[in-house]
Amino acid sequence: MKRLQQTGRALTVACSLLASPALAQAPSDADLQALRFYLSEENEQAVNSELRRLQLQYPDWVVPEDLGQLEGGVPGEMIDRIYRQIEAGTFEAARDSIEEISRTYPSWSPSPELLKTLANAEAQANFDSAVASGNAQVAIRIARGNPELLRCERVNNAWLLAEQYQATGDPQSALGIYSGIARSCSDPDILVATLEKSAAIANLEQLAQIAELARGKAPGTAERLTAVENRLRAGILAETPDLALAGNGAVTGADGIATAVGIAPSVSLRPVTREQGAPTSRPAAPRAATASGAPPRAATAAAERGDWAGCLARTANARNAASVAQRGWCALNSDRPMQALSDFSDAAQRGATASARRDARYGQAITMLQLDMIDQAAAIAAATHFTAEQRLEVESLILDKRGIAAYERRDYARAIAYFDELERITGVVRRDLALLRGYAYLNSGQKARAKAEFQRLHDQMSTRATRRALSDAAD
Amino acid sequence: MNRRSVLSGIAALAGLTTTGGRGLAQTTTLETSLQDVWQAWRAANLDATGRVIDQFQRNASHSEGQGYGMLLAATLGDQRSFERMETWTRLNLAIRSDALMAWRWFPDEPVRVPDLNNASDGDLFRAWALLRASQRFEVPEYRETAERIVADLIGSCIAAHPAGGGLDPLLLPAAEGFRTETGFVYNPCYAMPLAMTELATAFDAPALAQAARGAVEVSRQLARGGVVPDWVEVTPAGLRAAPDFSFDAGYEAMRIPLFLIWSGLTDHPAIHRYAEAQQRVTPGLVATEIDRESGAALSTSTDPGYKAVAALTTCTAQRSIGSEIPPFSDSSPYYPATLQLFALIAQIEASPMCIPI
Repeated sequence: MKRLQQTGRALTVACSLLASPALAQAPSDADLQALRFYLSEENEQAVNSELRRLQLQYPDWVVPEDLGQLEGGVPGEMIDRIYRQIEAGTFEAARDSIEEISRTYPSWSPSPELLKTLANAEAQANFDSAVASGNAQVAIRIARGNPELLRCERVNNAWLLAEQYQATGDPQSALGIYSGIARSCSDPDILVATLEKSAAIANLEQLAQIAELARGKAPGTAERLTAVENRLRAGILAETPDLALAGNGAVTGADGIATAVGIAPSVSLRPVTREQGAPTSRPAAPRAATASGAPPRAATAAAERGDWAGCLARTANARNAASVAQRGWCALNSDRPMQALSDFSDAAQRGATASARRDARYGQAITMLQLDMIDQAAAIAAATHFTAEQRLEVESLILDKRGIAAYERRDYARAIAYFDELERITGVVRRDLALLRGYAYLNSGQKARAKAEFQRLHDQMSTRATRRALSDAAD
Repeated sequence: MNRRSVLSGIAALAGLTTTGGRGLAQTTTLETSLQDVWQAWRAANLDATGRVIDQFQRNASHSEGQGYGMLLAATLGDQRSFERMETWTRLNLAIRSDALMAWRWFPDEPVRVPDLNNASDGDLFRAWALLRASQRFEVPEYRETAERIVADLIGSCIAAHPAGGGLDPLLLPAAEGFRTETGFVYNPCYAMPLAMTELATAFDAPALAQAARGAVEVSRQLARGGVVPDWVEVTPAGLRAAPDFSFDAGYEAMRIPLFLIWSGLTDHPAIHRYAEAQQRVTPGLVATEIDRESGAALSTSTDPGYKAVAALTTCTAQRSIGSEIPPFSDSSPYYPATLQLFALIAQIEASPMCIPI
């Protein structure tokens, strides 16, 4: 490519001598199609003769120094159009657009993210229409073939799937779905609603097992779940008075849920894991291509497959804000927070759109937190309109870090306040932090509360740490 | 199992070409001489999302097509197309709970994938393509995926020979659905010996090498009774026609001589039986379905893709210099077009004397 660049420059000089003011125009996208094709095929000879032809046709056109700019430059609005078509459910049109861009820009490939969005949206539309038309068997087969539909953030699908199983007379599989949710999702409201839905088909023992799974997933919501479970138990007992007398021995096999889970192995729910949800492994919105340019395709592709070194290499000389932000994420993932911080700060200043600048500030805040620059991160959070998801992530990290810092400087009251607030906004508090909160109570003379916190953790899962904490609190 | 046992399994397949034997010069020759053909294939059969379309099968896509396309892209050095196909495959067919693919995808059905069963040849070719791509494009993740596929193929699709007695295991057509009361239904062209041995060597998987040896042996036995058929039932008592499956040499079986040649097994009797049958056909035509016993053509075609397979087979069997492999036609449908590219690659990699003239 270096040789091509030099040739391009030489041609610019040579051809400017032939300039004709009457034809002062730049080639259109259609005019550039052949050139892009030759660039993608790395056919140097054809590139040069095509450049020569274009320069004769458009004498005022200045050949860019970096011909790669011509090659990769799919306008952002074309990509946005595909996303809009997917959103509108016009999938054929979206596919046609992909074909069309592919013909105009032969070196462009639809990103895996785009293809995934298309595949998932189609599956969702088909699932919805199967449910709406009461075609339970088809709905079940669609859901089984598309595990992406059954993620916690789309829990409605899983609930609908359970209803489809119920409709086909297969309550065991429905219970398997409810158990899967309780095992995978940590949102308290989802867990409570799932427990309530399961009560329509569960017996006492099955209800207890789902409740237990839910409590294990969201220990911070255990009390609420237990209250709901008790209410539902009462309801089940009221509907089937015999059970109250017969006790658990009379209900169907104790292995009911285990069996149900075995029936539906392909519908394991996928929680949002760190890899998927965490900011550090998310390349900056690659489709936010704007006037200031998009990251080079190769860099985005490298980032998408987690090849951080490759991404850094391909953005090493990046100047436009989108590429710089992309480099920031790749640097952060390569444990180079200082470079990441500098890139995000730069991109936050120069980003072409408000959302690009916001995303860069988000990267800036996350990187600062990794560098323990908590107050600076908090200042950015206070001054930026983050998305709800970004705000939750940034604020919970701030509270987490501030709580630990307060504990370390023996400001126990403040540590407790930070951890309480963390629990309030996220619905859960990690075990290690809950243990620390218990010690904060203990060290600030609130032995009973400390004991209660340790006991709660111990009841959830007895470990050496909880045993030791209980013995510390007993002294 | 240690490496030595794999290698001894492989050594038993004398004549097999392996990747290690393909020098840089050969790779370059392949890529330059087949570039135009590859671009024509790509324009006709691959859409922008990475889906290989089989127009004659209701515009469906299948694991075989994706695996074949990926193998072609990896062998011909087209990383961009390879990535597209792998991405589409991962999102749309690799949706089972294991590393294997569901075998078919329909564009116009609400349930795109009506059946989660796999087809072992599709998985085999995808794994082989990923292995070649990991080497060619230096992407280690491809190798890891290939290794997972190989592990699941061995776990789900390799069965002991029903006759026991130290006979080699065989590759089942799929994880489910082909077992019979006493044995199983078997497709001799699913087990591509070169793919299996290259993967067995890369991942120290003796079972795959043994199944490759088993496949070569089954085809040898079948060739004693005529042209090797599309399907056969393997039972403790031996090989026999499988009820409800074709026992003639049709569109499935035409891959057997092709794959044997590509694997370097150019003396295999299956190649001779196929070449003999093709020589009886009226010049200008190629037999697409051959009566197993009589060797008579049951149907013929003029498609250059099928002709390429027949010409390569005839040339190899007769040890001629130069073959009548016709020029590639961009109007060939997916299947013959793909077979023709395979024939051209096999000619360069394993049967250099049969250069098209």
